[in-house]
Amino acid sequence: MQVFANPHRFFQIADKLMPFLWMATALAFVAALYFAFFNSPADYQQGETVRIMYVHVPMASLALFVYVLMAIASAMAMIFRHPLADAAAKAAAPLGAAFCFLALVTGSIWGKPMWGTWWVWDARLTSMFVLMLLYLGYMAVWRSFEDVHLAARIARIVALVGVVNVPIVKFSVDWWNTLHQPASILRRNGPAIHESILWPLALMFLALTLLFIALHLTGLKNEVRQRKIAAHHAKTLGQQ
Amino acid sequence: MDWAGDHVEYVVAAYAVVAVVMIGLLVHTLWRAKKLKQTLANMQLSDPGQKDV
Repeated sequence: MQVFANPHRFFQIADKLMPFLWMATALAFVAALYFAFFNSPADYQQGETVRIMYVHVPMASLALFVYVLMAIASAMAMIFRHPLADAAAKAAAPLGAAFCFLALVTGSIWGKPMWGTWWVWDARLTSMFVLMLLYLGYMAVWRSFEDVHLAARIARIVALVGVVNVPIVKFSVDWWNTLHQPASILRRNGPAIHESILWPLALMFLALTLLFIALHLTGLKNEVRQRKIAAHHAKTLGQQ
Repeated sequence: MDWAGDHVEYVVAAYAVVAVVMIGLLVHTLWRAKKLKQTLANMQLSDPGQKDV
């Protein structure tokens, strides 16, 4: 762990891994899309629309996972003052926001033929919408302050307070009566869906997770580059 | 997949939105990396993880 705590060493190792990561991501997407479209059955009730699940479910799961990751990174920044922790949280936010947006949009597109409506203000959809607002709020904080240290402090608080919403999203279908179905994968009695549908779902989850890791590492490096440029500008101005 | 099945247009729409957003995100991230790398090179600064220029 000590090795990864050094930003220079971290990026040296990450640079070596990146080509393999991109390759694994591409292969996982090819396999996931093949299974999603050509090697999985239509549902006996939902017909072909069940294929929307292969993108909707991983997007929603990743939207929650990324927010938890942001909260952990923010806590690390607060406690240990690690130089990469704030940057990691900041780089993860647009990716999490994209996953959250896509979970909402694909859910809405799936809802129209299945529920007869694009949107209802039930507990699951509303808490997911709140998660989207939290992502947007977090990103807005970073852009709203000229003082980077102040922005970082407020952003950490937003991330840590907002993480309360994550269990609300997850358990909303158990705590309230919702139009959204209850959990069918992460349940005490095991998954409630047939393995012919579970496999494409797992593959798509793997592909999107790998894509997230690759984009996050690239975004994190961009953030460090940006800070290096800003520090150089500040130093040049100070010398004048 | 039965391309003539019921509600296939919803499936196509969902995957199209996902593709546009994910490809957009990928292109934007890589374009930004290229631009920042170029700026660092112009300033004679090293890229993170690389030896100093």
